[in-house]
Amino acid sequence: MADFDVDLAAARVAEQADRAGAEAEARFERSGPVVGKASSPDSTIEVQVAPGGLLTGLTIHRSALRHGSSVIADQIVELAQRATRRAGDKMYHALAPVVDASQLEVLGYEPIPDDDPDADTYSYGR
Amino acid sequence: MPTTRELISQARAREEAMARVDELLASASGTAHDIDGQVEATVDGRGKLLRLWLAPSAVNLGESLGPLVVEIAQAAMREATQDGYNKVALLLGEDMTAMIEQMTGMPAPARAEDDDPGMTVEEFQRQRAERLASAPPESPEPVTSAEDEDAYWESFDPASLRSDR
Repeated sequence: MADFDVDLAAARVAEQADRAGAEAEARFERSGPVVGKASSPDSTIEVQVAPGGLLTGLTIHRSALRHGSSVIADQIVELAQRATRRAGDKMYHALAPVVDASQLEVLGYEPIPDDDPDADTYSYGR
Repeated sequence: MPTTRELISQARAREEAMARVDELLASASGTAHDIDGQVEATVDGRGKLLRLWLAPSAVNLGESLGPLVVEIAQAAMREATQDGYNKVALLLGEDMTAMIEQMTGMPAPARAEDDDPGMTVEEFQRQRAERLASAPPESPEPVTSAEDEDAYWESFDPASLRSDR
């Protein structure tokens, strides 16, 4: 058995990533950048995150400010988590054809069941 | 020449170490706050918002509060990325970590040109000597009111006067 060749391993991983990357890129070109969005019931707080959950946009309307800082902070965290799940769901569906499901899970991309309140299309009494 | 058994155990050890990378990166987190201390955010290694604290005065920022929170979350993400690499480097060493940085295309924030290089021990000692020289000699706080004095004696432990410990 040859010693573990770091450069070779890196090159192989990079090649695999390139191939999966090229396929994924073609998909994302059609769909646009993947984001997750969530907003409060009265739409006074709107959150947008990148896949993984990093905040990329946050709109707080003036009328939301009167609830006080701690209520707003809790609401932002809750909405950010919902948006993160939604972004993960989109990534899962975009990448599932080209990347192994277990790999997607490691990355935190999981599908949201249709009957989950966080699902984009969920509506009460549907 | 290492034996086959040794080679197998080495390979296993490497495999286990690599498997722990995901775990370590997932356990990374970073916290950042704005310069006025009105917003503090903690995110995990992937950027997910774990905690957000807003000072009561933060509501006075009006509609600029949203963009500020986004900025702080992104600063926290850089901290989390660095935290993840620091943990991985302890496990796999600097070379392997540099390779992971290369593969992910996400260099450690501490490699950035404008990153604060920190302070050397000599610099710290020099600044400390300066601080001590300029500070007035410390004197015990004078007791200001009778109430304070009562509270002091109530909690006073005579055993603290013993010199044999």
